[in-house]
Amino acid sequence: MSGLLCAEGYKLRKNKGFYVCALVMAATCILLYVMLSLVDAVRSGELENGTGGITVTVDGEEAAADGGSILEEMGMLEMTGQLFAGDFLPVMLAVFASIFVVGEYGSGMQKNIVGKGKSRNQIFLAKFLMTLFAEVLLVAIGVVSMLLSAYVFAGKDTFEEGWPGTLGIYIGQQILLLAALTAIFVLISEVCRNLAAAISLGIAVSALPVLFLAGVDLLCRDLPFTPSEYWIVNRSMTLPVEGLTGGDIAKNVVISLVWLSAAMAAGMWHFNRTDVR
Amino acid sequence: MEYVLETEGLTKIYGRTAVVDHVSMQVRKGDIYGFIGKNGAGKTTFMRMAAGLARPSAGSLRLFGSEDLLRQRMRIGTLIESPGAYPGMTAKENLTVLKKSLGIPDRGRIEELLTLTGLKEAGGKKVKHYSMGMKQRLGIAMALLRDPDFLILDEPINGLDPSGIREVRDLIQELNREKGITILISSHILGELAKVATRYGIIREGALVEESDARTMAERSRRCQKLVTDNVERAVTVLEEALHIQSFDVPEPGVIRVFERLSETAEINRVLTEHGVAIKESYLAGQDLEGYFMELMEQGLLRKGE
Repeated sequence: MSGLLCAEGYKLRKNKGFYVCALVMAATCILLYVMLSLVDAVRSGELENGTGGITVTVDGEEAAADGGSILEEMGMLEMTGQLFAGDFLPVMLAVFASIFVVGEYGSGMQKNIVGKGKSRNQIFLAKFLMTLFAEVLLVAIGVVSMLLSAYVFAGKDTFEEGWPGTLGIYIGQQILLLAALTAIFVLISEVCRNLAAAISLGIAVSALPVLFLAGVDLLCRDLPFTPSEYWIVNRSMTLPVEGLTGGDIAKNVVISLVWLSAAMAAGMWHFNRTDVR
Repeated sequence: MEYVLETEGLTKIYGRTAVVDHVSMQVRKGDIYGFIGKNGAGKTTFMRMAAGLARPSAGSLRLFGSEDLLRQRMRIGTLIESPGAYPGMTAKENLTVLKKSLGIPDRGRIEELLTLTGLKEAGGKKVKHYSMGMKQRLGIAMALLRDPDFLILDEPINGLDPSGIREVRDLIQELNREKGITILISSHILGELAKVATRYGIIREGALVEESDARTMAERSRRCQKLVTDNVERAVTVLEEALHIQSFDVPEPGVIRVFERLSETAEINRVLTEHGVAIKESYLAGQDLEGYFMELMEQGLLRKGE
């Protein structure tokens, strides 16, 4: 198993897709701050509204040059929360996991490793764990980029008191939830074994259930629980940066682990049952 | 007899089609086993089952006399269809990944294999820039990485130029002769296969239709005059006594193969007829392995047509 993990680590280091995803992640974080800095500059009157094609509107009307700073209002923690609030991260992880897993089948080494003295469970597990590790790295790159951008664009005042502890808990929860989502992407890739199909389905899984579950919540409004609360993407998007209770954390951990274990078991079962071409 | 691979009724069914149909094959230690069959005959599927990439639908498989396949497959090297290398990595990097995955200590093995397969100069070039022949060589290097006792090579000379084919042929013979590696090899280039194989298996529509050693196969595919008659006994007497022919055989009832005086077929027919032997058919047959193979395949088609 250690040899397989070592080989997966080597493959990750040599994977161009990983570096591209990391670069896009970092660039997006920086861009977020650049955009908001420009908005601040417009609102403070340093830049005329419409400069560089950027028009700042408030309630549908062009913002006057007397507003406050958004970066100051939001602070670093809330800005970091924005990174996890949309579809961006799940889509990025879907693309990376698809490239990393499906690449083993089309023009990869899976057929040279399967049936050579290593159990299929070990082979699957090594790939699974390394994809999760890559997910942690990508999230870490995103967070570090956010912190650096916050320091550069908003100054050290944007770092609230006690931010390392709050951020640590929040990021830990997000990593766990996104690990469960990544496990689902690995399962999809393992079942599809086709890059285009895996990416498409991955993006669909990132985006569509949120909309679908909104409808389900409405239909099930009389139930004592809200179905969407049990879907990891919903939990990740709506996770509050501050004020997480012990109960919230425990619930996140349990839900993440259930999804993660189920996806891992299903992927392993499929890998064991199917032929390798 | 020590067998490296033994299958008993090995079957693979996709949907309702048996791609490999109850194949019982034996590859003996030290063999270079030439596996022959048309496209879609089931060669690759059989090899994939032997390599552990596909699960048999029925039948059993033994490797090195054992049913502990997971352990025994550590002694196998495979090149099935294509090399299975990452195009964005170099040959060295691909071999490194495989080495790490299989837990093989390095000790200069990668350099040794790159030299052996003629890829030393191109070892640092990305595989996506390789020619088909170079990729095949890399596949062979990967198959040899763990110093296997048994090599399964599916179309290893695919895409190679004539000198590349000769190099691979020499390599296969060297590995077999000097390292004692048993080899199961399939190829469309039957002439090349005939130069290395010591034993053959012919697969048609998923079923193994013939298995024999190279000598028997050479004998069967030898150029000869084929005579079809109702009176084999009389014909044999005439061949021996009137025509003084010694080299002939009776491979099946009603058929005689004459291996000498092939330029005098008309004379042989005339003498036989004069001695009261009715000749139904008389023709020259069997040119080489390819001719024999084609004949076998045509027989299959005829039987299917019936």
